Amino acid sequence: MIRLLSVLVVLVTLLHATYLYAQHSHEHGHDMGKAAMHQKSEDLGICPVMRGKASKDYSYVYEGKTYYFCCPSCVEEIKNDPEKYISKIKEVNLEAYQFGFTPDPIVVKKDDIVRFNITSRDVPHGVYIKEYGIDVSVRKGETKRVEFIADKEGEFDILCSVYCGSGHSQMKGRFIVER
Amino acid sequence: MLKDKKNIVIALLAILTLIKIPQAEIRFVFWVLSGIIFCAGIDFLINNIYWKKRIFPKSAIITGFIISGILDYHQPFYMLAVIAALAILSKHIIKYKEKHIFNPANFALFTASVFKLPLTWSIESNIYLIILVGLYLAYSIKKIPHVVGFLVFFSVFSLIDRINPFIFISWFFLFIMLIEPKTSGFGMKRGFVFGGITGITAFLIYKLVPVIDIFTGSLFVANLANPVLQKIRG
Repeated sequence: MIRLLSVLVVLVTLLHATYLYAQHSHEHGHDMGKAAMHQKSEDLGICPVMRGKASKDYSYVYEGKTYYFCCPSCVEEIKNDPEKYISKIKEVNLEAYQFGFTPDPIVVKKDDIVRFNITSRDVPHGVYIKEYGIDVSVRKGETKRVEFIADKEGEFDILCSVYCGSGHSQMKGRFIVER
Repeated sequence: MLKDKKNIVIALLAILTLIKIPQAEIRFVFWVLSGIIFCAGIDFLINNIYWKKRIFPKSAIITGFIISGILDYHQPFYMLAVIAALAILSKHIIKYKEKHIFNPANFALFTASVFKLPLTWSIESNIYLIILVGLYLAYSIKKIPHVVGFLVFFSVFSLIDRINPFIFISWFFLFIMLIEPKTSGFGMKRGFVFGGITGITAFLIYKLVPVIDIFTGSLFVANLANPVLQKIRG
């Protein structure tokens, strides 16, 4: 019995370690350009120039919209050619509903900075893209923001990770990253 | 052969898996087969080595079907092995008065949900078949009070909150997982209370912590309360 209990403890520890590892890579996602950066209220997304974590201290207003950067030199850089960097930001209002996502498919170019503003039309849903480490749950009436660099080329499934009704298993969208 | 209700459940799960295959990738087939092999293998080994019993692991096969059918099949195979081992070990370790407390598949899936592994419920491929066979199963193993208890409490709370409960009830959960014979208790009153606890908890999770899977979370709580429920008469 003690041996079996030990195995159970080891398994839970392994699961916990995997979870911590996933969280760790997620938190450092913007530095590595791999995992998604889930926007908290104090987060200002990814700097469009250096692709690091943006700061509220460095901002630039272009066509009525405020963009945030990681350092003063990035602000100077964007002033020279704003379109070069801002055209690389793809903002998508992604709505989940029973049983699909809109827009579908979502098409971006490789190395674009992708911003998802995620909402739900009806019951709680999850937006899960395994390859980009995105797993966000959203309830009707709230908006969750996720920002990441589309650094992997290909066609990826967007799945719902929160049970949302009898069509939950068929709920799927497509996220396409083109060259 | 059909006298043993486990055979009916295995047949139903196999049919549901087959229905899902055309919509899924070939990986889903290997995923489900692996789930069954992991669960049945671990259970067989534990029974042989520790308990010195030779039992054909039918319950473990059901557990394997449920785990692999609900857990997202795009996850790595080692994760499926870990979740399968958790399910079977929970059955052999977490006991009260010589009976396991938790529905093994549910225990493992709830743990998976806590650790943010997505549950896509792929096995819920035909709700009409699930309801039809599920009603027969619930009736024949005297678990209708459990189903009614869940539906009453979950529906009442949802309707008070102006939500249509039937748009997001999992019939697979209701008719396959909730009524698992060994961990849900017997009797009219006990069954109704067990279902009620599950229904109320599911609603609370839905409202307060939707990150956790509402069904596996609620059954985990009800399983935990079950030893206390056994003190209720009838």
